[in-house]
Amino acid sequence: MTSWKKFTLSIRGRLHEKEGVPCQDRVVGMSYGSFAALALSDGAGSASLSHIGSKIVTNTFLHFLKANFSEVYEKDSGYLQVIERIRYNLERQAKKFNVPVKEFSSTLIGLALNNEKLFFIHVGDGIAGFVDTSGAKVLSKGAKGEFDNETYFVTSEEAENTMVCLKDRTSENISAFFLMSDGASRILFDKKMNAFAPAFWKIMLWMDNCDYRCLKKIVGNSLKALPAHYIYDDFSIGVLKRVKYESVART
Amino acid sequence: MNIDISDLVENPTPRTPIALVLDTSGSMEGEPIKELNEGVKVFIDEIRNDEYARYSAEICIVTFGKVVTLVQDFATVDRIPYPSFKAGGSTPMGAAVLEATNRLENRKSYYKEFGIDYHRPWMVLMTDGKPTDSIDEAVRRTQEMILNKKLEVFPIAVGSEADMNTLEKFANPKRRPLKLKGLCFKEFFAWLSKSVAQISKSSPGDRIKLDLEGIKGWAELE
Repeated sequence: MTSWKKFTLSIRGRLHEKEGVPCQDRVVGMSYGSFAALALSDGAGSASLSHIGSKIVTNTFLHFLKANFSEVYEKDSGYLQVIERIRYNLERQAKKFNVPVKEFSSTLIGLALNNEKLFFIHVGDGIAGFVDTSGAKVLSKGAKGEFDNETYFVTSEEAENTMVCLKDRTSENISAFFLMSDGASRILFDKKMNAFAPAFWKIMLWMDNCDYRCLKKIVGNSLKALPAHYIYDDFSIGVLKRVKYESVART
Repeated sequence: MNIDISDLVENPTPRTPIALVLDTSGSMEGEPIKELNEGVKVFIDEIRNDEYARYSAEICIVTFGKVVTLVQDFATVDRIPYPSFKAGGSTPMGAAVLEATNRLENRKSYYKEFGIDYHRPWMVLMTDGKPTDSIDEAVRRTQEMILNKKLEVFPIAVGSEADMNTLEKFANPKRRPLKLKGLCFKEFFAWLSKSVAQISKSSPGDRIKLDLEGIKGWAELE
């Protein structure tokens, strides 16, 4: 049986550090038997509670998919069910805080696996991809407006029309799935060459050799030591790496 | 085990194009032109000192005083010398705004051609008087860009002779033109540089959130 090893890391960008604003990115992962999931959300800088919004978005995705994977995978309306559930939780929270739900505006890249079935949904910016025997490939670049800082959020009216959705069977050739916020893709993905940076491959390699906490520390400290303009925006990456694939490859 | 700069890719920093369209007509002679020069110098310095904006902000300067002059086409601040505007002549505001919008369109084409991401362009229009040429086409083009959420315009009046009705025509209908408090050019440009450095993620078409508290430092608010 396949199982998946996870790695997630979020770092507060320098602008937010300077302004005393919390990190608005959130990335969470779960690996439980044959089920594994990753969710990444980037909160809108223009929304005052988007750091909470991104938490709600990612947690809801993970727990909803864990409880309802088969149903959302089988149903045509599965994607909308996920979006509606997230919106419901955001609206509930907005009522609690007595603010418009817009104040929780956040993107979503969510990926769930269950016995080689893949469910994927992408609202807003960032990158999702996978690694197979021929290298790393982009699964989705999401959707954004003409201008760099403009994108779509789970609560946007345009979310349904702009989201990227995918349900498919995966293959044993796929050794990893990964998600990146736009802050991470800016330094880990060469847009012109459509290629991933050496740092990305280092993380993939170190996942085999380091425990979760040690890897978080190494990558986190390295990135925090970079000149400010590299980590100006919040940075988030999430990886699910196939454990069975690795052990086969090593023999 | 470490990650350093050589392990990363350096995609171009997303650019924020800012066009300064400045009145250098005869009525700006004396203190106003001196303060305007100082203000733009402050703007360049502040952007230069910001660890992100110095890579992101691209500035174009168009002046209108007797003739329209492209003082500086779009460039990052490391390539922009301090200005030394001189006042004189009439106020060809319409032609100056058209020149700025043309430059903006050219710059956007350049970004697209080279795969450089960019933010919504800004245009600052500062005047102490009335236009001496036709502004019809300039107003039409500016309003079209505002309506399509392709441009943020900041019309700023200097002194009591500035024609607010004209500036109103260039303004976003939801954002009235503002009047500079005395000769607070430096305070305005310091605020502008701060605002440029703080562009945050938002939905397509959202208005840019401005530091309203900061505006009180340089604008006469009713």
